[in-house]
Amino acid sequence: MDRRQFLRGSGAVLGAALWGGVADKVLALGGTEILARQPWAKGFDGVEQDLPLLEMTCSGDWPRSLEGNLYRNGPARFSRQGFHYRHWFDGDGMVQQFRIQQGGIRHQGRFVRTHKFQAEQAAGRFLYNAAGTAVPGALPVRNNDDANVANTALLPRNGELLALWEAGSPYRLDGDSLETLGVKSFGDKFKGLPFSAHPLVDGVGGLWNFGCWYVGGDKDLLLYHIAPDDSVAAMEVINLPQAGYIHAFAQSQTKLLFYVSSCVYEEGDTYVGSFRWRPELGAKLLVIDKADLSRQQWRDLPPGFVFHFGQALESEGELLLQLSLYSDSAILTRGMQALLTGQVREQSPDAEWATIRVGLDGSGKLQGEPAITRSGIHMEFPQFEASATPTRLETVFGIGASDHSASGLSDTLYAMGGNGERKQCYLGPDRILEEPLYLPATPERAAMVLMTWLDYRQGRTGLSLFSAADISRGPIAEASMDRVLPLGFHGCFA
Amino acid sequence: MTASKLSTALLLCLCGLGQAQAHTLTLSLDQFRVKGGKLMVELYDNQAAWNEGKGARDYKIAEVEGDSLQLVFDHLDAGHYAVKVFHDENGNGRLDSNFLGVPNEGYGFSNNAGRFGPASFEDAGFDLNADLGLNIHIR
Repeated sequence: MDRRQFLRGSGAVLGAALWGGVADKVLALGGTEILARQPWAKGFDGVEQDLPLLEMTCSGDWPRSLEGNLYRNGPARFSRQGFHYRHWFDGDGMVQQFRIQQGGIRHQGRFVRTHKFQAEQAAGRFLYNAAGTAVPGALPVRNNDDANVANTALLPRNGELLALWEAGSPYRLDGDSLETLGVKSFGDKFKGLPFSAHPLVDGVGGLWNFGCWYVGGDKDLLLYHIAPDDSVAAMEVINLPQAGYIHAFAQSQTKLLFYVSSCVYEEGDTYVGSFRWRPELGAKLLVIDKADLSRQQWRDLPPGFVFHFGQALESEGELLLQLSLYSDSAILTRGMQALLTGQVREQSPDAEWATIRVGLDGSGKLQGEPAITRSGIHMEFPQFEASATPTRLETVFGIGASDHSASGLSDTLYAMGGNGERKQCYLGPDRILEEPLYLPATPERAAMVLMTWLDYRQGRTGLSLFSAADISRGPIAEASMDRVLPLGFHGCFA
Repeated sequence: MTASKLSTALLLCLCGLGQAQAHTLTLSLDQFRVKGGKLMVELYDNQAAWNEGKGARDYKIAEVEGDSLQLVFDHLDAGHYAVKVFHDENGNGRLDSNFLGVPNEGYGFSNNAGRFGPASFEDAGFDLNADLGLNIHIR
């Protein structure tokens, strides 16, 4: 049996995934003593230097028409002078570039030269507190950007590549060299403000985005509409009923949708460590009209926690929102506490692929109470053919850990069709998968899914390319190299 | 000499000694983000003035030419003080900030107080009973 047959065969027999185990175990990585025990943990060892160009070994049928760069971002430096961060979110951002060109693929990785990174490189030690780790003798911070590690996502914009973090300014990168060009400015009034790592395109050259401002008792959601020329076309400050953790949002044709979770900011040593699970508060659905950001509609939801969303759609008298829904925030809060104490803990609940539906009248007003439909599938990092004005339910791709995952980390790719059809592909016992990127069809080729993975037994990082129409057939092409890249969060293709 | 006159004389004497033993406060300021601009340093000796940002006990303005500098306040009476600093990086005479009021230019406080935002007089306060050196990191 060759590898592809093995992949196909395995993918057909596996059941529901357990993605929660992924981040749970990731978040439990506290010190080198834990790293030493886990063979898969080399994906979180990090690196200390930029990674020079390396040619990858390709196999299978890479379409000649598929040319461009797969970029991925993630935390990559976790220790200095023997001090090790306590949270995965803390590591300095490194951008991985896989250049697909003329039948070959080359990789390089480069740290984002944030203010924090540069100051700490010069000092030879950590100088500032990170999002989830208090650093001994930390310098005081001026604003959010002093802790900004630009390690979460990437966005191609106006000829540059933006490295995004969830609570500070984007950093501008050269998409070819990965050189850091500076901090992205949206004007002096908006310097140093939280700007989430999950902006949404508005379809006409601009962006929607938000940031949470939970300082000094404030519970504000800052909502931005960025114009094509990067000026701030509209800005709304929305006072929230609770300082719920909000990581991303979604858009339907005329609305922006937020899930204000039951994990709320209170007080703690660090930003992440300040969040507490408060199920008694429930969660809230916030719906904003794109045409008038001051128009808010609210609905109560059962307690819950969310990082990422799928599609939102206004259709047939209802508003629909897909999400990877956690039953509580243990993935964030207990993991964080365990990291700070260095204790190993039990597994937290998984994210379940779910849909929230609420009635909608002809004028765009919500009608009645929301209903939640659960899929029974545990899946995270949803990706799909995004549109600012979606007209139908698209297939959503995501990853999860199978019951057989020795690491508890993601090893299975899922495709959840808008018609309810489900397909999946298991990638093997030693592979840890990262977010699957959807590559829309072009005149030259059909739609595809491109994802990165780490084979932690072999110490290899690779790419797998799938036909979006049927991922269960397994990868149509792969590439790999003898290089262990730090596992990361989000990417893009440009 | 009555007892009250004796007390008054002793008090005057002690006050005189205090003036004769005026103290020096030496500030070491570092972590400037940019070279250039002016460093504005204000020394306060009461909370009301601190809160209002007016009526500082003393102040100094220094050109920023390197990564750090020292400033000396001398002839200070013993007492309780606090220091505010801001780095007017672009020379426009004010501390620029974003629309939430978070500074875009450097600032700092004695005791490096203020976790995120302005420090209180209480948190930044220190007793000056002898010559004292303080380090303030500009953030």
